Amino acid sequence: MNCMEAQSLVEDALDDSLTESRKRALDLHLSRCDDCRAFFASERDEHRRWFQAMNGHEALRRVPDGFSERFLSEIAKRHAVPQRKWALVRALRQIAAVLAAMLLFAGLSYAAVTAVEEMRGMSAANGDDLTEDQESEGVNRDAEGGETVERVVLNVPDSLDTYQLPTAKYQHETNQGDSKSMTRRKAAAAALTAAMAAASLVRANGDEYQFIVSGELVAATEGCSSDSSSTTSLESGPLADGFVYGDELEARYRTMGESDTCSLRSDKAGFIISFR
Amino acid sequence: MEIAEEIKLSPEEGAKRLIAEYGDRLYDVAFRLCQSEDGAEDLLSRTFVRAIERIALFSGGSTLYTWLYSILVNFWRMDLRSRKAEIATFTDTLPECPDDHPDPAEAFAAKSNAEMIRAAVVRLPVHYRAVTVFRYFEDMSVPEIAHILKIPEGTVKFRLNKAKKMMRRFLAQTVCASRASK
Repeated sequence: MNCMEAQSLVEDALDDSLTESRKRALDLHLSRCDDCRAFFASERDEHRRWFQAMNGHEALRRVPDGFSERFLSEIAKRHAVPQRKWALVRALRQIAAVLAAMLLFAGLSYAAVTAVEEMRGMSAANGDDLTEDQESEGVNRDAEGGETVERVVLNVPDSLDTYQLPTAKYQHETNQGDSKSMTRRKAAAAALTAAMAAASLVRANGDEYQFIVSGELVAATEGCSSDSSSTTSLESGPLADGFVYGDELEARYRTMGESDTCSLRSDKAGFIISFR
Repeated sequence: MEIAEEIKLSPEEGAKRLIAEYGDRLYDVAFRLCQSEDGAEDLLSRTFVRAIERIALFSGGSTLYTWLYSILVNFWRMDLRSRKAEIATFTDTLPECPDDHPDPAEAFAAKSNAEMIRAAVVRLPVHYRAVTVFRYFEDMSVPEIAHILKIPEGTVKFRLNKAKKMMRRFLAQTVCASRASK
């Protein structure tokens, strides 16, 4: 390990998050290098002093006088409206309702199906890349060899902030060996892709949306010819709901009798979905 | 009763508990990020409103504080996006210290002064201030900062490194200024 490598590890060392082998290599280097030893000592000392300075008793600010009263009054006002009426008002004001038919391809034994939805520059997450890890990364895919869903044209009415996407297919490929959890995640990815696509269409009207994804979850088995293809409806109705704000989405998804939460954000490369 | 459960039963009572248990701490974070009382109060208020509206989405997988914290930081990031132009006006051109090698004793005194350190944080450009606040005030690790800001760990390290250099420079300038005024 040279000095540059050693010093690049300073934040990891301060976090005490170095692997055993890296720690040993660093310790060995520090035992031989006066400059790096001084550098690390100085960094640790500075870290401690800055931490103390920012956490001193006098440093903590308290909520301003009157905040509690103002905030509680605001909350009381919001909840003074009868619950059903409030729900309706809120729904009319900010719900972006997405209606999408979703296809969950199951049990594909020999026909490769690739599908991608490209709507105004936003692409679907690639179900193949979803793993059981906490964070799965989606990537753009070409429609090469697959079915391309036609672009969705959305007419946004001025009077009502409730939008309905024309039925579209959002599909993710599952494998025969997928666990139930994985299958559910792929279904969620399809649902959230629909929600994000809808949000991209209505974003011009504001930064935040509540959404509900309703649709049908379909298991499709495809053979080599269209004659041997078949579809089975697994469930239909609300599949996910949550909020979109900016480029991010928080959602609760319900499939196969269970409910979970996840978040999704988009960037230039596609979508990144974090399952919890 | 857990606060999350109380919010579901009674938003008003839940709101009181949110303020009592998390108000000061979150307000302090909000202030450090916004550097204004109005901005911090607005951020805190929106955070609590959002939390109350979405309490059903709180899965219990993290602590309530962590969840509230992530909502607050998300709002702050959204606010940042809406005023990108303001951020873009920042330049790293700072008045040069006439002497790059201040007296070691004075430099040490400056570095040891908590008030000077906090004042230096305020002067940092917003992205660098954020990682500094999370690192030193919230005692977050690099992966935790990356997660809450939704940026790669390498970017966090880069910003921390740059923030430290700026902080040291600000502190050195403070020494210069105090020496010049004598």
